[in-house]
Amino acid sequence: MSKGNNHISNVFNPFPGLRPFGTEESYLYFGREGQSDEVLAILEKNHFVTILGSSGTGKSSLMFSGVIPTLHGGFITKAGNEWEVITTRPGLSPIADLAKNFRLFIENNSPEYTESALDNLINKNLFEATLRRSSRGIIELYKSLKAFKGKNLLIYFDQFEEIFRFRRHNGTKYINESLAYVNLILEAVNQSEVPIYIALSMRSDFLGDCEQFPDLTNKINESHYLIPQMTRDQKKLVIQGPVAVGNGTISNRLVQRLLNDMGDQPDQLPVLQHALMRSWDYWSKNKHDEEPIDFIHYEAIGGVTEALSRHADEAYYELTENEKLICEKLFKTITEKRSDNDGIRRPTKLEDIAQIVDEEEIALKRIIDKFRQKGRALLTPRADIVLSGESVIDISHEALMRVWYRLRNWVQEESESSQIYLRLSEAAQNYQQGNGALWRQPDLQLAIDWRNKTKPTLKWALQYDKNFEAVISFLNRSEQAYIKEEETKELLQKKRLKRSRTIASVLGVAAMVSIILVFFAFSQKLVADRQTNIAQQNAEEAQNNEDKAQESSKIALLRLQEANNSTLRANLQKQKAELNALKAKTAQSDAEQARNEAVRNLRDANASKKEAEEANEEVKKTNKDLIVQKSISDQLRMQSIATKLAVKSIQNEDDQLSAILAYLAYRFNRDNGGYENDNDIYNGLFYAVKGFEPGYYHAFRGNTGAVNAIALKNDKHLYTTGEDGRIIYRKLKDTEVLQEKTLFESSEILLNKIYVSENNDRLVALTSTNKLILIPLNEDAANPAKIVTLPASYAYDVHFKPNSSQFLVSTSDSTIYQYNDISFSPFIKTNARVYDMESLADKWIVTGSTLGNIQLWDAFTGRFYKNIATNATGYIHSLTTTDSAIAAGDNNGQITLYPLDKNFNLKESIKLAGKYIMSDLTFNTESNQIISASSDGNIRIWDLSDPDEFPMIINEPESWVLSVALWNNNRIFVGSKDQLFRTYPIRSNILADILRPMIKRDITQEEWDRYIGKEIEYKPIFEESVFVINN
Amino acid sequence: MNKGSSHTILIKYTQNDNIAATDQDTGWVDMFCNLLKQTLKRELDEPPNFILKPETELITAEEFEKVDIILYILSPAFIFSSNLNQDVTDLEQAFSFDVPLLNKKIKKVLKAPINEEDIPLSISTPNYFYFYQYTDTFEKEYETFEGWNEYADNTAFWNAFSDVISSIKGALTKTEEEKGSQEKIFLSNKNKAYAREREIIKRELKAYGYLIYPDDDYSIEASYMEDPELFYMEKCKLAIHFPDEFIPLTSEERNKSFSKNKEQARFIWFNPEKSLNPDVHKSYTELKVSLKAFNQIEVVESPIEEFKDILKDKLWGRESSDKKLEINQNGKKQYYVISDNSNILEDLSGINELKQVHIQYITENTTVSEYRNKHYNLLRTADSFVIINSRENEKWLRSITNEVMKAPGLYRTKNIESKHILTQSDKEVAPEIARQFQITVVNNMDSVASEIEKLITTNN
Repeated sequence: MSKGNNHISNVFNPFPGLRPFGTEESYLYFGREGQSDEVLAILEKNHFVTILGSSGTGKSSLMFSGVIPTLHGGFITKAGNEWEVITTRPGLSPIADLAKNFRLFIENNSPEYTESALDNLINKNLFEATLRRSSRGIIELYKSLKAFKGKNLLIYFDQFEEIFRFRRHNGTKYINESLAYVNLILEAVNQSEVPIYIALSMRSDFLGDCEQFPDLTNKINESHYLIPQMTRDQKKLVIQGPVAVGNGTISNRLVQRLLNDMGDQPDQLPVLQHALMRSWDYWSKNKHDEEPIDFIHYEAIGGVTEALSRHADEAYYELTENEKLICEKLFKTITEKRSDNDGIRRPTKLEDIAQIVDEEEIALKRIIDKFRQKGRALLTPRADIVLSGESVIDISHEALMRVWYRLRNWVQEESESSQIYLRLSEAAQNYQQGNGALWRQPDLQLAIDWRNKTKPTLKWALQYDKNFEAVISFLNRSEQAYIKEEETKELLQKKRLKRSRTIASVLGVAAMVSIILVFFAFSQKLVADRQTNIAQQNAEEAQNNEDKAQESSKIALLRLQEANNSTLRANLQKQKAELNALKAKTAQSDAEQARNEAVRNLRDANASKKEAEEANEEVKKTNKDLIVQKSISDQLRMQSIATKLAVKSIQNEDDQLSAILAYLAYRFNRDNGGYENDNDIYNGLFYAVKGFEPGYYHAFRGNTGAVNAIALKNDKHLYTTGEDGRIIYRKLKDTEVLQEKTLFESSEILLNKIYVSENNDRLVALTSTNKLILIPLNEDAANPAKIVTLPASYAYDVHFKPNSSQFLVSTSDSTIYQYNDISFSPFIKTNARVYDMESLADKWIVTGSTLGNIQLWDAFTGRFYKNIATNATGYIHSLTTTDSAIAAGDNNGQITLYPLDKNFNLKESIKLAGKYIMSDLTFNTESNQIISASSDGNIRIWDLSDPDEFPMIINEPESWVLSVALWNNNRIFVGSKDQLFRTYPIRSNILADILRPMIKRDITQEEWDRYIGKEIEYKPIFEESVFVINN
Repeated sequence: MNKGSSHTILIKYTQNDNIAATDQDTGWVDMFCNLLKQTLKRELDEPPNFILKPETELITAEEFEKVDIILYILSPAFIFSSNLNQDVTDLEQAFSFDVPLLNKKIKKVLKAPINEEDIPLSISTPNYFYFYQYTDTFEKEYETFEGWNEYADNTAFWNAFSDVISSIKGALTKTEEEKGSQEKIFLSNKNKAYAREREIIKRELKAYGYLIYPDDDYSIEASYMEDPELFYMEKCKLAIHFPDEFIPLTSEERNKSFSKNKEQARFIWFNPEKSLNPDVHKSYTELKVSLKAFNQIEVVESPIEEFKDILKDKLWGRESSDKKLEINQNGKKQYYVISDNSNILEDLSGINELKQVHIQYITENTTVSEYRNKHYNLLRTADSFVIINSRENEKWLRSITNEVMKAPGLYRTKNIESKHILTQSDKEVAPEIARQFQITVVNNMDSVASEIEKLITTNN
């Protein structure tokens, strides 16, 4: 034994790290001695036990390394020691996983059950079918497998709390599946026919959730085992026991330190295990001689607090920058926040993760491998298991979520992300039902940031609810409305600013002009005043001179001669003064002139003012534009009311009121520039018409029997066939049937599809066997129907050659045969079955195959021309063409539109998502629509000018819609499995015209206020009020 | 007896249903038979022998006698061939029109949807195994449906296959007859809208040994009845219906239908998933309103797994606990005597013989849960109650009186004949309570036995 131990010590690490102990590792499992005996005692008494404990207390380890090995030891004496154990987890598909674990058990333990391919087929399918047959499924499965004969079976349901998360998904499907699962368990416990024992392990914080299953709660009350917290001594054993088994030694001080570092939190056990695993590794690589594991080794790995985080970071730093981003998304997918300080795992299949994070599996595998490589084991499955798309990826322990800071943040971010999504989903639902408005700031910005950052995928959203398409559409609408509103505001702001600027500049100019004028007038006045002063000075001087002259004349008396001269001088002076006075006058008149100029300038200023007023006019005009912008936002509001009304109209039980609401919805939408092909508006009108006349959409208002297939030529020759084995021909004019006759009748032949040549001279019908029926259609044709046999066992499609009654037929042997009125000859050999053939530009044939290939062939020679595209999502079920595009529908409901240039090169393809198998497709080139029929009973009509818009959906048939034919570009004929032959208008305006005469009363003011709102002016439908309003 | 040769299964089919889709594939019938053989080989100690007969080879009377089970693989192709009728006509004549015998031995595998009316009357018991998605939508579906031969991924195929295996095993090992109660439940099959759900309910009930009518009624008498539904319902313990069969009816027709077999317990189960469609929701609501007047019909709208639980509760939940605790009364009147002093009870044993009654009491040396179980069972089943309050323990008396007052609420099947309290003083029982709950208070504790004898005489 000691030799064995010595050998072991060199190669193995006795600590498992984060993952639980396995059943083969019971020799390393210490600290819970005695507890497994108590569990067994309960199991023996009740055949049932629930092991409860908080996260990290070692529930799984107790089962795997405590209870199960003891069980095999035959300690339940009554039951003996022949035990088989199956372990399962509820996961994402509880019953299927249980069946899978039975299968794995059988495949590993009973080779005789895996001898042939047939056995594998049975194992893969029959186990699940047996489990699903009734609540006795486990008992029946046990009985049916000889491998269990004479043996006890313990089924261990690990992580049972996952069932509550599973049940939380909305929808009856999940409730049913979880109930069925619980009932399977309960019935297996309650019976005494066969020795089946059941053990569950569950986190104790989920106990409250158990009340969803009352019987299970009772069982748990009777037989549960709550794992007690370990004592210090037991914890010591957890550390020292495995070290001793691994033939190592650990210093006593390190043991004490570990115990102290760990504290008394129960969830530290896995973290401790991890730290010990890492310390051991470090020690075994770096030890000197007989050195025990000590502080130095422990600290090197970061101790209990850091070891796990560092270890995970090691893996993270090995990734490239791009891989780090993917890694974040990966971890966000496989974890989930439960409460403030608590996360739970969310084990997910690799193929699902790939879809959720929108990455290739191969890229994910590289990352996952980094985290699960030997000695790391942070993710499961273990490193030695090869990953496939089916592999379930999980973190080894929830402790990782608490301890690795990076993951803790991611969990938090993911939780916030899901919260935003769920809030959006609720708002979108309210909006659809007419109970809520589009989002506005600041919520909207948060949501947009969220969308841009996380780039959510459909698969991601499905983890939370099923409303993804509606959410994205709602968010886009909110964003558009907001952008529009912002644009309007911005425009308004700009216009305001411009107006203010214009006014300011006009006033500024006027003020400047006035200032200049005032200044000029003032200066002129100064000049004039100065001249006046000079004149006055001159006059005063003249006066002085006169005075002096008088004095001088006195002197002149004395000096007469001299006096005469002085008088002359005085006169001269006087003349001078008069001249000065004249000058002053002139200056005055100049001042006058300046004043006049000022007046003229003022006039100019007035003219400028007028200009300013004109500018003001322009501002007013701009204002008008702004009003238009405002009316756009009003229009958006009205469109939203229209959708609300349409939804309300369907919910309303009063036919008249529901018709009024539907009609108003249509009118509001139309008058406010709403999307012409709005699905809600269409359906509002649709059901309002149906409310008045339930059979309105039945073609020709009569029961025409079952219609499997339709062929319509030139909008007036209609051929139908159904289960009654008859082919009926109707000649149509508008909506009238001019003529009706039966072309073929046989109660023994089942007719599936019919085809009519372009010239309307031959009809070919496919049957359920290898027979084809050919019927001549010429008026004078005397030949009866002819039955021909195909060279293959079954035909899928018939295609008439252009302007000919010769045709091609695609068959189950992957060959397209040509029929030349006598026999079939191979025309095209393909590598897969062709379900649909269509003509392209009269010269080519397009085929769609089970491999998803869309190929082009020469219609005359059958030569292969080119592969246009390959559809990755499924096999092509139906095709339709125009000269410049091909549309293909596949069995997964995906419709892909392939626009082509003139050399048939593919431009960027457009995907239109539908559901279920697309059975028929047709283009309506006039209205630019594409119409699809599918196996879920829905007809979808897309507007190709806006393919991102939600399609109009007609869901009346409720059963597989087999064929659709476009009639007069505004209606379609529809044949479906429910035996009714229908015709539907494909535009809302046609329906509105049909509905209006059916409305017998108008909307009352009270109804208007209630359904539309008081703030919108009451406007009756019949504006001329020909009807008396009748409450 | 050679191992594997004691049983024989005959499979009758038409070659049309066995055409392989490609050269690499196996025909439907061949694949079905291979799976059947392999599964039975794995599961049975003595795997049966198989005889495969194409439609053109008729089954002889000798063969019919010899084989244990005949599996007809039916499809439109087979139904339309005259050979099926020829087969049945020959067998009818060979076995003097013993229709139940034919029906019992012949099991019908429906490979593809057929018109059930086209099946010859003698083998028309609707115990079919549907190997396709059996709903109204697909009812009229034919071979154009992609996937008839893609059995490996087809859930419907495996569900039905598992039914076939279970049924064959039951017949070969004779456990079918022994299993369970063999009580009959009527499960309406009038409307195909609930066909898938009906199959699920049927599987569950059959797993517990119930017979499902009309499927398991091998006679064809009903075909000659004016109202075949009533004919079947009358034979059954419980009837289960689905709403869609009533939707197209006029209110008169509905009333007539709801009033059928009024004594019988009936369920109408509404699938909440279907109510999501506004049209359906509207008509369901209307139907529920019109059902209000019919008390014997219980309307249940719940997920199907919950409905299964409700059915089980109704059928055997309470019954089985009754059975577990059943107390043999031998038709005698049962008196439940509860006393605060067990010594008094011992004096009563003589009365049983004397008065031809069964006096029940619980002695104290039992566990709490046994005591409580027995106590509740007696509260449900006893004809009369006697409380003996010898120690004048007021709290005890109030508690026990409350228990007896509670008895009518415990799903009793018969009325309580009398309630007596023997006590020293009548002050301990409020007169208005005594009056309201018809409790007789007797103030005499001198001779309890004679007092009880007296009240038994009065009761008789």
